[in-house]
Amino acid sequence: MREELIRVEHVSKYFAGVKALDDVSFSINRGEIRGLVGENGSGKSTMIKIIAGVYEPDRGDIYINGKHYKRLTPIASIQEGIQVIYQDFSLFPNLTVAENIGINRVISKGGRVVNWKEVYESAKEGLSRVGTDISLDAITGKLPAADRQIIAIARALLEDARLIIMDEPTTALTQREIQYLFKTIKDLKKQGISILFVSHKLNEVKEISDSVLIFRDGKKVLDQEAEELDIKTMEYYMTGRRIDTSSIAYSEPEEAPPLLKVKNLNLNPYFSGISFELKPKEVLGITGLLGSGRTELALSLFGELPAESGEIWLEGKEIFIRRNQDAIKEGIAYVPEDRINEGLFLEQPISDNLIVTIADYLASKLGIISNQAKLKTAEEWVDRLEIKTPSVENPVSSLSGGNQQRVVLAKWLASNPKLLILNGPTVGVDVGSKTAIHELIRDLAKQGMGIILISDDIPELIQTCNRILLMRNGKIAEEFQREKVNEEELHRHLVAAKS
Amino acid sequence: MKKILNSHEFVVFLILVIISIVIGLRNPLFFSASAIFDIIRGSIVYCIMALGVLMVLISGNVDISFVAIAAMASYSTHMLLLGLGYTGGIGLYLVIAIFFGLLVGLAMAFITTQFNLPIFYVSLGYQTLWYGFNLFFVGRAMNFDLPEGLVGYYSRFLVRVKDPVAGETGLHVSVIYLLVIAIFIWWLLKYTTFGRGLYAMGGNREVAIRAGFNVKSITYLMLALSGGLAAVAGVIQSAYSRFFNPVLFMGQDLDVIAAVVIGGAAITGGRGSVIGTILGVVLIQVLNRGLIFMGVSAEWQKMVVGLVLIIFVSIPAIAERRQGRLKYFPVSKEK
Amino acid sequence: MVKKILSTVLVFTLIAGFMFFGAQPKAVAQDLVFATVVKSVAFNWFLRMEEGILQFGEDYGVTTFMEGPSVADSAQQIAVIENLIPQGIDALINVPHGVKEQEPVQKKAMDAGIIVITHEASFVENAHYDLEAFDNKAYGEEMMRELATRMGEKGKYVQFVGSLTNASHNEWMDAALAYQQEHYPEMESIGRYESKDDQEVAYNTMKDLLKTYSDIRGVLGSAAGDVVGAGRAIEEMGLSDQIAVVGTSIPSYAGELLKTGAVDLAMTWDPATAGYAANVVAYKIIQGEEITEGMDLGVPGYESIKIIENENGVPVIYGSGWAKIDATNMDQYPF
Repeated sequence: MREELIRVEHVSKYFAGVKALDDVSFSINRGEIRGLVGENGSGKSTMIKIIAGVYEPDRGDIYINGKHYKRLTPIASIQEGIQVIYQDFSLFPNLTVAENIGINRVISKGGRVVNWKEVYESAKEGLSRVGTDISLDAITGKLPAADRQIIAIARALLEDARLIIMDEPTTALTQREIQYLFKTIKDLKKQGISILFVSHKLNEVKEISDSVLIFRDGKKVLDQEAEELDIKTMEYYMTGRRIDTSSIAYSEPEEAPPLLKVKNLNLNPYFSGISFELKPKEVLGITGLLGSGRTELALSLFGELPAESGEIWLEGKEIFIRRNQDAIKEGIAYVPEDRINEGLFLEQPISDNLIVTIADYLASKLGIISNQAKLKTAEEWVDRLEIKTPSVENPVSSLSGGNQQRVVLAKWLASNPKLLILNGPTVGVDVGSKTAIHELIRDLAKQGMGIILISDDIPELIQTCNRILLMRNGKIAEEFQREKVNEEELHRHLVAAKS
Repeated sequence: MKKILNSHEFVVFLILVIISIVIGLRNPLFFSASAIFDIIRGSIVYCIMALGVLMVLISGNVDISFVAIAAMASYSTHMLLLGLGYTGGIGLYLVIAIFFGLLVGLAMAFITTQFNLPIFYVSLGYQTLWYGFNLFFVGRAMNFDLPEGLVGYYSRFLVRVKDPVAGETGLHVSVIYLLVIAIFIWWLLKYTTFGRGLYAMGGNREVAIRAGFNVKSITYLMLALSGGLAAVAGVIQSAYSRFFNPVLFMGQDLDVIAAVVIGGAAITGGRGSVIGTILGVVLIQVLNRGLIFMGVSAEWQKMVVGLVLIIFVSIPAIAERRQGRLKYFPVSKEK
Repeated sequence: MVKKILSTVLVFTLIAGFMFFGAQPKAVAQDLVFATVVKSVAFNWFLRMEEGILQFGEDYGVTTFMEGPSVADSAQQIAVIENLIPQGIDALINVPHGVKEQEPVQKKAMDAGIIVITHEASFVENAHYDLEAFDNKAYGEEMMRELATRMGEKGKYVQFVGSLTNASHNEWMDAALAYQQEHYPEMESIGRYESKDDQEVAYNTMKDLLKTYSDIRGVLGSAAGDVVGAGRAIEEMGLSDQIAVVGTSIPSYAGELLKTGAVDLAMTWDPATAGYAANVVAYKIIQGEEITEGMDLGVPGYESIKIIENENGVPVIYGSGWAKIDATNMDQYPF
């Protein structure tokens, strides 16, 4: 049964003299789930693009189904049954599900006229192969990320895919959606389809993969059965250093009056009867499944979805939050989940992004912001958060994901908030940056800031928070002290909310 | 059914009906056949141009040069035929003008695809270029000499109505061109890979390329068609008004784009329909003209039109926001 | 890289090329250079004016040329003047689209030592002289007398102006209205409508007005296209015999309609002689001659000028007489 589907031999690739891939060889068998991990710049994406025929390797050979290729073209790659599902799923947000799945078939046939009956039929066929019942007439952009992923998979299957490459497939998914994706992947495996699961989330890769490839600096550094690996080893190979996740220093919260007190907060239909306290220097985790109301609660505190009733007290004074500006004025900052859509002006310089929240403060009496003051402040934050960029005048889009997230953080920190609400701060961030962000969170707390961390990344919660609130159906269901709970237990409680 | 009621087009239609009723209540003559025919006549030319604009907007681009292409194609055709002593009707005018329009559209596509420039940037210069071409090479004067075959075209009606007080008018024959064009564009958008490619490009250009749409040839065809449609509009407008104008439609580019956007096309691309576009043009036409029916004097007209436009464009936006808030997290997923 | 350079060069050529089309001086300074800036170079009216300007240049040995935007727009007209000031012209004859808006740029020209003469701007503040073909009040009253005669001195009529901010148009119409109220009590104005200097707007407005006020018996036009648009509407509705149309226009615009009787009377002055006379005034000032009451500017209609200072202290020169053109004498006015 160990039939080989694709074999890559001694592949190297240079970009302007820089080695992106250095003598990499591996193979994928039929029906095998291969994990591929590596930090940003490790050569993961270059490898994907070589297999997809987008890049031409400078050296090396590729064998697919026993056929030898010096280089692949996108067409040849597709004809050999290779399908890539990119991070953005490559879907048209404005078109219906049916069209997104079915249109490729029309184009690949070279037809000029669209037969809608055929589009619908192939879409139905595609969706039935992944076993889901998403409405064919739904507008794709309005569906949740998990559904969009399924649509992308369905489309790939229609192209008679034999190998599906998934590039960071879980980035936009919640815990529960990830489980659903894994189930789908296992079904595909049963159909004899191979999967290359590319991710930097080590626990997920370990969970789903049969075997794991690890790239570092363009070289393959590990190729091993998943069963034989543990996360620590994987981290070591990926980063080249041991990351001690337990060593983050905790500052015990003061026995001081609470910084934030929330009493009986309601917002139909999202949450009701929410009461909790947050002490200065404390990091409070809030977790829960999709629809549990965790994000809406955060948005309420930030004024984006103002609560209908209830009280919010900050530093012993009742405050009223009707819109964002109220929250900002009271010293509440919010760092959103989707850093690209909500938090940043990607094409604007880093410096401008950084000063958005403190523009008023920097402005002279005439309302003019001096360029010098702007650059000085921006450079300060770039240094403090170790954002890797040659110049603060570069656009944010030139930064890697992790560094973009730091810009979002810095943007809000620059306004010196009393309360910082972070929603999924390390989603889509590699291990190295993740650790840095965790350290930063603790560091900020130590300086006296109160922090609410919303996340469904359980290790992250355990490593960073003093207390963790678990939300279920719009209510706080349970509360955990960090010392008294471990990862497995918390995971069990979280998933139990499903039933 | 629910889908139709929720559509942008239906909202536009509803507002059109409401505004018409308000005007009609003040002056019942607004609902007379002659008033309706006149509004149709006034809309035809702009609808034809707007359908070209629609395609460009759907693809995620903005083009403002179509007005100049209309002027160039119609004026050059006229001066050419006049020089040749042509005495026939509108047929040859349309053929030659469409040829000019297509050619100029293709040239624009060449510039944008070859140098990878956004259509909007090119169209800025392109508009000036073709107006300039007219004034510099063809002629600066409005020309009132019509060939025999074109005299009387302006009152060639399919259906004639004679109002005892307001005189005679009718449904102009050019409504047939509009019908044919509208159905053709609708078919293109819905049933061809070209049409779906426009929507795909507007949705996500990169993905469209990855999916295998030939973005280049789509751009060529789109701009050629848009140029051709502008040419038709230019000829019909000139035949209506009985003179050929080297600066025809100058300054009206944004009005046409606004009508298409009001009709539901997204300026960012990926959305828009033929029906919506036609409704958008008719709505603007009714707004502009309805005030005369209501006896509103010129001083007030400007303000009222502006106000109504602002109110109108905010309605779909507000609706979308409310919808967006409710849909913020799809509770239905929980089942 | 090559593509990038090519595309940059292309864009610059496009932009540069068409900026120069608009505003390049057509002559190098010899002795004297007089520029005449008009509302729009694409109006036949001003093409006729250009003939007079060039004729003056030939007669007096002065380099003269006419400039202006291709569409009537104050902002563009100001830009044209801004560009001319540093080019060392000796005199500027300006026919402003909007009088108020162009005061500052006229002042700037005067400060730069340029002789500034305006035309169709009797309320001007910043100019050495303003030149009018005739007294606007008298012209408006004459228009009303002609209309009243044709309407049997009773019934409703409508006034058209190019824009509500056009000084001359509104002066004519104010005078006409006052004269009617005093002398023709059985006539009634239903209001003043803007044609936006666009025949199509005049056409549509007229059609809609006829539905709203079916008893309209007269039309007064101000812009040269007003009576053409209104006349077309009236003709197409078969109402030529019932409605009197009188207004400012010229044969090349209104010729056909004068023949068919849809337009009853076009009143005008010859833009060529006005352009010529304005240049003569500038010439005389530069030669140190004084402009005096009763002076002969050496061109028909300006043999014995009147000078009246306006409220801003600018002397306004009035020529004498206007032309009345109807089907019988239109051949004498080849413009």
